[in-house]
Amino acid sequence: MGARRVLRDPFPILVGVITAAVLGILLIYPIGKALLSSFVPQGEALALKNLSLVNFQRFVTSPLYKSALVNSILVSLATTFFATILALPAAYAMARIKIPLKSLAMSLSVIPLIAPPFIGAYSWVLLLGRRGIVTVFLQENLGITLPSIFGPFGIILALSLSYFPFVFLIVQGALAAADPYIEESAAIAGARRWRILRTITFPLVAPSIASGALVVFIRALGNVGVPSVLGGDFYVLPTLILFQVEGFFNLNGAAAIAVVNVLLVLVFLLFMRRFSGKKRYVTLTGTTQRSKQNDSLGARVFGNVYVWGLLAFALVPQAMVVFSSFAERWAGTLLPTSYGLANYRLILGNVLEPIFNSVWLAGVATLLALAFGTVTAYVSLRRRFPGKWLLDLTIMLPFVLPGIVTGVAYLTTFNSGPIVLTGTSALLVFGYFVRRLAYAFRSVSASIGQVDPQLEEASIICGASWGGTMRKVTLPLIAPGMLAGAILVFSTLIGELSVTIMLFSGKTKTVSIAIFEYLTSHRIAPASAMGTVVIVITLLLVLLASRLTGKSMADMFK
Amino acid sequence: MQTPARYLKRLLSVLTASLLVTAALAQELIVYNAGSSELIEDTVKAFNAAHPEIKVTVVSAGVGQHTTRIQAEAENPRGDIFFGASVESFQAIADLFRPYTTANDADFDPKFVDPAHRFYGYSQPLQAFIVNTDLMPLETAPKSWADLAKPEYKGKIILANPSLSGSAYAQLAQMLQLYDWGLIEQIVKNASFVSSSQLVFENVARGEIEIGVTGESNIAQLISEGWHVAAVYPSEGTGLRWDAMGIIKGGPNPEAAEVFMDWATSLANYEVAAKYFRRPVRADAPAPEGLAPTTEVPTFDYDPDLAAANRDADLKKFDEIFSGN
Repeated sequence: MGARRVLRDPFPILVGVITAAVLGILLIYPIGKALLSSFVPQGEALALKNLSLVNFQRFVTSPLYKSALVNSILVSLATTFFATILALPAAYAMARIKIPLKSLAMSLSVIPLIAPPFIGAYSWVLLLGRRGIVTVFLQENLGITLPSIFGPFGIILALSLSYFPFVFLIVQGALAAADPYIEESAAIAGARRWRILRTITFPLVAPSIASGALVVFIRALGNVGVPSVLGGDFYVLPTLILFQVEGFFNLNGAAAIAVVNVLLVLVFLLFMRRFSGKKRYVTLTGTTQRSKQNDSLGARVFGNVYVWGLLAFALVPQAMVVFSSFAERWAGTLLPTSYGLANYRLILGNVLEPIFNSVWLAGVATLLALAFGTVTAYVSLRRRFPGKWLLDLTIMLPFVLPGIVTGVAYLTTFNSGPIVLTGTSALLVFGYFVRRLAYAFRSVSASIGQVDPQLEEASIICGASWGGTMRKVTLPLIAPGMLAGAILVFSTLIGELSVTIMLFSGKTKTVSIAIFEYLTSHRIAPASAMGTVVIVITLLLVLLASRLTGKSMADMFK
Repeated sequence: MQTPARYLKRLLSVLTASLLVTAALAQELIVYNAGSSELIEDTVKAFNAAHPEIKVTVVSAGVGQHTTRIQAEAENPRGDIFFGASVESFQAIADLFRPYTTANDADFDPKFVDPAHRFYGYSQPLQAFIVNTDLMPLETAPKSWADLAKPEYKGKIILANPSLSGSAYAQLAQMLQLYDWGLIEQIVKNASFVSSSQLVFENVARGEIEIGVTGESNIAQLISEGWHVAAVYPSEGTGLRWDAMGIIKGGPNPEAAEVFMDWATSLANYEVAAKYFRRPVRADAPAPEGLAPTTEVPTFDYDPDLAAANRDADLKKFDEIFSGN
């Protein structure tokens, strides 16, 4: 039976082999080598006789390392907690309450993810720092003294507001897709709203919450820019990676810190498994229809105020970027002393090529991530095989590792030897692809998990081939999830800096590099103009994608 | 829908045209730039005025990213020139640079040239105090390294963590060559040590904090832009350090790299550098306007070799004091 199936339908085997080969060459080999380098002292070759734990010693001996480890755990957990708490009511409101301009709200919620490198955290200082616009205004007009933005509080605030969309988008989608009959049945059976929320709605979306929270945790753990700008003396693990790379040129030491990052994520992953449970709830069956919207006045007022209020706060850094882009002169004063379009004129000659590069590099990488993310997600959910969690973790690895570690892994692997890619666009595309594969994988997994496997089985029983079933049954059902994944991948890649800066060549300069170049000569205003262009273009592309596929943004994330 | 398509077509034709032009030019040169992008753009422009036949591609990144890249690419180097990084970072990977005695070798004081001629001095990034004059009148600002330890400056000083870079460590090394760890312990109590050198002068300029220690060209640049800051050179003297440029060994365009080094060590390059407040290493080069002449800046005999030798031990000790605080 098995052999006959294979002969009749070699397609799944072919797809499997290609995927395994691609993951092996582009992910497992370079990233595995980088991780192993953490067990070798600086300057030694990667060989069995050189193996040692010397790079990890500092976590035991150095008080600096111990405190950074504690700080990292604190910031990441707190950020994950607050981002989730912020996101859940908004997700619920978006899925169950009538909100005008819902599609706009959805599109806007993607924007915090497109934080142009470094600029985001500065905006909070411009507003809430000691000489910040808001701080000074409150002090001079109302006599209110704000607490300092610098320190763990500021870091957690800034990170939570920029990462909550990961939870929001995924949970909102799951809620919108959840079978409304279950909740309605409970209501008919006499359950109160709170009880339904606690015993039905919440368990239904728990896997999605866990999924989004994991992404937030990883992003918070890896962020170096925000703790650097708002932290002062408050160091986290990525700060120490920076010291190892910039100060000591010690990549082995940096890799060791990265391995500790990976371990932390693993612990979090296992914890989340417990939280979300092993149960999966199939919610997309043959009979699904739209869930009923809550029309009560109280719910509508709460929903609108909450969603728009949250968006307003979360978009403050981006709004400041746009504002700064019109400042022609802003030196040592509270507000700019002259406004105009000079910054846009300045970047005019320097904007087209980087934007073009960023869009097509990120675009191709997004398509790749989508294709392979979908296949691996499908296999991991629909096929039984041992070591599934290992596949899950493998795909997460390049996402967990700091960009510079992935970047160096790529440089050394593809600079000489059988496959030489340095200086080509392919190197960047592949680097982007492995780094963001996890988003596509997570997003598609969540949506495959909601599709009842019986639908596929029915199609096979009716005589359709595996390929035909995929094309006609599975793919249309998970298309919204794929599109959601694509948007997450694309909008976080368009401003990607940490891998880019290691892998780009003169011919593949991206917008993030162009922004970085302005910042090296302290030209924040033109950098902001460039950042504004990125925000606008990404927003337009996201809207275009939803228009082309005939889905509203709200429909995509389900 | 038609306009974007037409636009794309035009963009493609422009790209093709630029590719053809590239092919027509005989030589290329890839510069790994660790400094400001504005400065390198002007430098390349001036270089092309003298050598239009060489098409220069600039790859800008941080010092650490470039040294990492150069090391990772060692078997098949992709860059020709490493430009504008501190001499400490050149020394850390000195073997990856190719000895080349430039046409202007005789014009250099040997102390600003690698003994094996693998890299040449570019500018002297002297360290000075940056003071926000809105928050602190100059009269009350610290005048010496020792002043930084005074209790009245507690909470008013921002420094870069010495583990962050060669220049950040050089600040610590200078104080250690002038004083002992007792001073450092006091300063650690007073100051906040951030993890980005740029934040030091940006936070002072923006009025987030009163005093910082940074390269003088940053201060001069900010003053020229109208920020309310001033430079104070510590009275015990600031160390004479330098940053450098050199040819990456095995790079793709060895001849163009030599042409560039010959030009970059000439006065023409130092004229560009002066516009960006870089203090030249060549004594006959024009001093930048807005910087005090080298003869008027108090300096002391900073020993970079001693600093390099003590670095690991110093940083370990610093970490202990820092985290014990």
